[in-house]
Amino acid sequence: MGGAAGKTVAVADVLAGLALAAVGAGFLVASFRIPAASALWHWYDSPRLTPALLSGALLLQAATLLGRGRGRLDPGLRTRIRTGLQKWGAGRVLLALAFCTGFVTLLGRLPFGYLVALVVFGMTLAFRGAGPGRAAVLAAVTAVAVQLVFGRLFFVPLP
Amino acid sequence: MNPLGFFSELVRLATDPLTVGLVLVGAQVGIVFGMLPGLTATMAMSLLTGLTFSLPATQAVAVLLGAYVGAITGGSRSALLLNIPGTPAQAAVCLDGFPLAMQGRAAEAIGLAVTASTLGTLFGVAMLALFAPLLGQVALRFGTWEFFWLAVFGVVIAGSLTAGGDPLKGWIAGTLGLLLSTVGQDGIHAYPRFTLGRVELQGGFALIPVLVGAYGVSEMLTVLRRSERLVVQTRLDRVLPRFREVLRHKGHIVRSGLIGTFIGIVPGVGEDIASWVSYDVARRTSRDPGRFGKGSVEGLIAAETGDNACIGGATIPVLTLGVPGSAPAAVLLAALTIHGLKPGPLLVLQHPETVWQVVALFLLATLAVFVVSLVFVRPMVRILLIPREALMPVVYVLCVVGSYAISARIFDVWVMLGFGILGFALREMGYPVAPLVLGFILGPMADDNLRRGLALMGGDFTPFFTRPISALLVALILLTVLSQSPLGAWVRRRGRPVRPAVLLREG
Repeated sequence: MGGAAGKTVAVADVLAGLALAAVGAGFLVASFRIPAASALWHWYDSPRLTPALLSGALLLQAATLLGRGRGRLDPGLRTRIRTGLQKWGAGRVLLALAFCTGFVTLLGRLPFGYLVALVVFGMTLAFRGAGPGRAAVLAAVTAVAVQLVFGRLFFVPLP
Repeated sequence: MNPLGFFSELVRLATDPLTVGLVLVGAQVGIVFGMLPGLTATMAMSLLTGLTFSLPATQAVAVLLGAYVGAITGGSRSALLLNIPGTPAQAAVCLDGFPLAMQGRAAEAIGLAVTASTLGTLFGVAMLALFAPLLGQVALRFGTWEFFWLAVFGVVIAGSLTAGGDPLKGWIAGTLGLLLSTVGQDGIHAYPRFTLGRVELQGGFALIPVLVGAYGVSEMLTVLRRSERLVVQTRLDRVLPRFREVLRHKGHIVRSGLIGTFIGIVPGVGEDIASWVSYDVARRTSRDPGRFGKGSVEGLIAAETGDNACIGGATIPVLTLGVPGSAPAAVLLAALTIHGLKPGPLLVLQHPETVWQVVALFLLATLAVFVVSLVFVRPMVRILLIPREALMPVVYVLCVVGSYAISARIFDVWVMLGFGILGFALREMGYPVAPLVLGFILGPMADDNLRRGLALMGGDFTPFFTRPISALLVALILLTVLSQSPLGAWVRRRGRPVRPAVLLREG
């Protein structure tokens, strides 16, 4: 793989390799805090065994990724990442995440039906899925249908 | 067991309007539960067990079997149309089903999926009727060592199949899933691992929020990230596939049927592994493996046949041994017990008519699901005409409801969101989500059986490699890993015949 595509893959591999190495190392350290042997278990049935083995495997895989991406990074990396993020749609992702997080944060603080209507209306409008009129109808129908189908028909607990 | 007993039961039940009506109701409820991300076959059956408590045993089982078959079949709808599997069993269906829908062949894909599901269920039911006691005995040869390798095998093949040309990414996702499944109390000593002192984490992450987040929320974020609008025009000329076309894939149907049935029999494994193994075998035996993952009809048929054949398979140990083969089968076992039927070895000997009743009800349920599924194909594919920016907020609300419904905890909704962000990040970097989820599902099975196997032999690893079924599974895992490694590529290059052009030049 050559050129820009190859460098993008290399950047992704290095970033993912670093993140996975951190996760693997974190789990490995935490698993070594579990006693290897006690009055209840030997080393071979210790609760430490599987997570330690899996963390080791993840570290090995992360090292492979890092090795694969090493030496293919160019000096203008920071500028390319910034431009790449803009092209990739980081703004839209952050907006979607804001709606998602806001919805979960408000669960239990506002009546569920109103909250559903508010989020569906806001998201549909923000991402231009429909005009204000249609978005309002969609929000109202979703809120009522969710309450009826889940709450009344299937007896599913709603927040 | 006398086959005449089966036919007389089938005729009696098929001519009873109440039984037929109840099977249809169960099928419809099951399909709706299967379609909605977060609601599962197990949940539908648990709910209906309570609601059908006052009915006579036969009619209650009729509703439950309708819901079981309906939910497993219905789960493919959202997998095909939204790339979000309705139940964990449909993750493999997304691989080729969604690309087919994106090519404007959604109606055809649904028709194929329903046909394959029906054939798969019929295959499993036929195996249930013919070989129930024999297959139950074979499944009992699986010990703790084999269960460990089976879990590893599932993750390895899911990793290889879903990561395109880079299996390392699939295996990384699988390892991450296995590792995340170790959060919470371990299954042997109940020792709390990685809980950070939080009570909510004592039980680990619940499966449904993980599944819904990794597939549903990550799909929503992927769709909303793009600024260009995606609307797919679907051809609606023909839904049911031609008989000739189905016959062309008879090899995959029979193979996947056998695989699904056998995996169903093995206790605790279930529909998800059945569909992945069937898909893997179909790709290996296909004449056009390059199409897999890009809208292969063979891949779709294999995955759907495999997971539905598992239903009949999972019922075999329920009836013959009193041991469930999958989570929904465990609910079926509980329901049969509640209604005074005692599944186990004595049931087949003392009350063969009950086994025939179950087989007959399975057949009715399969036919009911087939009919109900096809009735709503045309309105359903119109979902693809709705702008995704308007559809995704509604999908997100359903994801929240599905995650919360499991144990009415807001914590589970946060877990869903966390796994959604993780799944989105993985997808954007080219990592498949399916091995992550499968690793998470199979993690407890791998962990418990590895340690139990070692404890049984005082820390000796030998049985993991020397028992016949274990050795076979190890060989399959090594074959899969090595065939995808640089060594495998080198061997393939060495084995490839020299091209004529090169020969001419050299000659």
